[in-house]
Amino acid sequence: MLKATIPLAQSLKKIVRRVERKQAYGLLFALLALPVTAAPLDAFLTAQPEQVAPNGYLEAGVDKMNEQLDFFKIRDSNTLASGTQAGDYQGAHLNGAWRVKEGMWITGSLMQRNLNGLADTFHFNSWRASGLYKFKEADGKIPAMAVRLSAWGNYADEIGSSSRVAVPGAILNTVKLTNPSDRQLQADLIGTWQLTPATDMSLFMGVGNTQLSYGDLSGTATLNGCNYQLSFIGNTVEGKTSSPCSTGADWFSVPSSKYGVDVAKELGWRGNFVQFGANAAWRSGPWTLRGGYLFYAVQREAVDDILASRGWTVYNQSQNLLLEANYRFHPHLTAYARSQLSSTMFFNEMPVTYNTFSSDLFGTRYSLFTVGLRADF
Amino acid sequence: MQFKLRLIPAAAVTFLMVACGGGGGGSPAVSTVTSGVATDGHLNAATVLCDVDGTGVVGGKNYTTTTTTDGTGRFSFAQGCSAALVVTGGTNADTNLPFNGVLKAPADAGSAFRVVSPLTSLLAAGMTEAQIKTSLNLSETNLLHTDPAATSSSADILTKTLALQQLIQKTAELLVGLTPGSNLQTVYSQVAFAFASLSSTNSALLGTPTAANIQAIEAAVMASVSIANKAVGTALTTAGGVPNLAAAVGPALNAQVQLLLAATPTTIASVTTTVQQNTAITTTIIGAIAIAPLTPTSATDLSNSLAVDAVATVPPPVTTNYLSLAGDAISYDDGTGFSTAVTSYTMASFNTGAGITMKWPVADTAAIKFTLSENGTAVLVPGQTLTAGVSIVDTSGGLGQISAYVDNVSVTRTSAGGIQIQVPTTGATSLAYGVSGDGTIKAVKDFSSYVSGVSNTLTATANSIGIGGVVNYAVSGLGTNFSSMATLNGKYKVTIVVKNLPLQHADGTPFAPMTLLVPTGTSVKSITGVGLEGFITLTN
Repeated sequence: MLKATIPLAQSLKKIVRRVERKQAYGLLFALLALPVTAAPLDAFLTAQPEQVAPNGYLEAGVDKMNEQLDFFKIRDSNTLASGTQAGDYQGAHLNGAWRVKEGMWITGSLMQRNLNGLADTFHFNSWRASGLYKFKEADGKIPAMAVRLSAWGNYADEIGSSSRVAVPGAILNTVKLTNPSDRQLQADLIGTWQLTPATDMSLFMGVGNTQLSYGDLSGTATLNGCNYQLSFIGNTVEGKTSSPCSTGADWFSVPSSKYGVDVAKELGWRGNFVQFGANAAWRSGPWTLRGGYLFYAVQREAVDDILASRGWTVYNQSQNLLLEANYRFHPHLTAYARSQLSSTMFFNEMPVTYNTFSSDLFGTRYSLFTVGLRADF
Repeated sequence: MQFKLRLIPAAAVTFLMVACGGGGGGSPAVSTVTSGVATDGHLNAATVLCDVDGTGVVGGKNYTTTTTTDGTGRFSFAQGCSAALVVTGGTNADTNLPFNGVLKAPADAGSAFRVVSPLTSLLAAGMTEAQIKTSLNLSETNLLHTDPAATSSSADILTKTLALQQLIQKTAELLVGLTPGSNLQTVYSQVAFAFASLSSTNSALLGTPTAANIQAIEAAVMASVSIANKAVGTALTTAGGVPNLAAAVGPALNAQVQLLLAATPTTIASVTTTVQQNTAITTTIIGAIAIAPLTPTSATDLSNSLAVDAVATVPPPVTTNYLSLAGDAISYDDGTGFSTAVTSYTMASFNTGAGITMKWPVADTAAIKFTLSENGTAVLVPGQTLTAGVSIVDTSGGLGQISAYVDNVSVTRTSAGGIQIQVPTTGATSLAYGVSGDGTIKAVKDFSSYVSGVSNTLTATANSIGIGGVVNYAVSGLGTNFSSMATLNGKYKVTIVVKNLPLQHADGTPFAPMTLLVPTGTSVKSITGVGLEGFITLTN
């Protein structure tokens, strides 16, 4: 009986801890739930952008996910999100491309993303700038080949949680993080085969690095019966009582390591990533159908080791599937609809959302739907 | 031929004059005697350099062109000097304080009598006389040849000269204090140049005591930092930034300036001595930034106390009317009630060996006992309040520390002749600060509510002040973040500072002036007063 009781107790403790963490990470769940037509949309990379538009294009679209659009009930894989607004997403994007000269393109995009957590809504902006150079034209079985260099990132003025967030050693009543951002530098090599006049296929691979940064991390907590305003300054936590309290210090400063937290490494990590994938496009009359697949793997400094040391799950690979239907209803105007499915919450597109507090939720699959218009010239 | 022969020695003399004094500043020495005065008030035994090569230092062509001032600040160059003058060293004849700065006067051809003063330093730094007069609101003309300390000069020019010197000197001392190894005279010159550069476009430097006046001083401090050496700027970046530093010291510098400007001819020497000897600005700022970088909040808090401390007489005046502990002795009652509970100590034994032995944690009933003694009649002004602070610092290599203060404690004389010390129910702050032994954990506990209303009347009979309860209350509050607080032991250095109480040793000798800094979490509380250092040994 004793033997049976102990595992049961341990299991219960694990479940409780897990649930507590899930609740606590409400803030970050939303971040994870981000998705999207990401900065990159890299699953559609091609060495021949002129197949989309001869000289350039400008497209605008809206991205959305909610309970009604979650046809496949993918979000139900997260019990917290099921039946709630958590994970609801709506965004808008503006993409543009311009052929500078034969074989040389510059592209850029801006995005706004609004998503709901369990109790809060978060607002992120994303940006990307890239240049593509086709250094070899297709020749028989030899594909057209291009190299693309990109810089892209995501940022927010402030994110936070008005619900409880657990950190090792304490539970924070609220959390606020100012100016969270990520910045990436990326290089890709792309080969595109023209299989038939109406069909082409591309293979691509890329490497890059990621750097996260943030401004100030603050929060509130109840410790020793006193309510504190907390400020995380470097690797020091300072607390100041919100109101006079007889049972504890009025102000304190402790190393965040006392709580088993290394804030700088856990929120401001850097890493290197590699990705590869394939896509194909088929054109018929006014219709163009595209499908793409992307595999992404990242090696993060420190943060994943910290997660592993705590026995928490590390997610460092992601698979994405994109499907897109285009209909040209005017010589220079195309309407499109796109679906993006991801095995792991698209952290490849929103690295800023991944940290030791949120990583647990990246195991959740996610989907996103986009509709928009493209004007080409 | 006779004409030609007469030309030869004339040419030789001209050649020698140029060789000895020409070039550099383009202002050759002249053969007529040049006399003058170096004044900060008058500087005795100062070195005056005829800076013919413009380097400002002895050497090169300057090696034969120095002279020394006499007891009235007078100097002379027998061979004459029309080049710039540089004065260093010496002693202020009025205050007997050493002069640590640098005074300059610009090149001046044709003047048989020259003045070197803080005002001529501004001229040497590029200000025009009109700009100086506007900036300092002076009516005098011919500043280049006016001795501010001469009896014939107005009191106005003397007080403003001394106020300007005070600003430059204290700013330079502060910057040097922030960057150990810096040369004071070099920084002094840089600060003088900064003040001159700023004052040429700012007329409020020594105006009436208004906010604009303080802002002008703060701007001058900031300009000084930007002109001084790079190390100063680097040090201040890590110490919270130049604007915070300026905000912290501006009101204190202004307080010193206003004290000098208000002085009369009969008080100017003593006032100058007071503010020149006062080192509160430098010591407080250095101590504060050693605890934490300055913030706007801490800068404001520090500025309030500094503005008072910076004009305090240091050391405190020795008086024959004072309070003391009878026999310079106290007893410590550990509150256990045993026959060995009470142990007597003298101040000498407190300051040697193990000092006072205390069982730790202390009992709530632990108390300090002493007999108050009064020599003459100590002066207690109506509404007088005292501030007392104590710090206890680990002496065994650890970083453990506890410090505390209580302020705005009222001090009144009772009708029976006792001294009543009472913590008011409002307006007083009592706060304790602790650092863990490894230095990583720090905490602050406000125990104002615990001591609110506490009153003790000290008399010539035995007095007992309970300390156990308040110590335990404060330590308990701190201890929520210190798991080892209850197990403290070993020898600790104790510093006690009392401000605004006429306290001296039993034999009348004064206590040493001290400044104690108590971190408050968001700021630093500065307490400057009479101090006593000793030791306690905690046993478990």
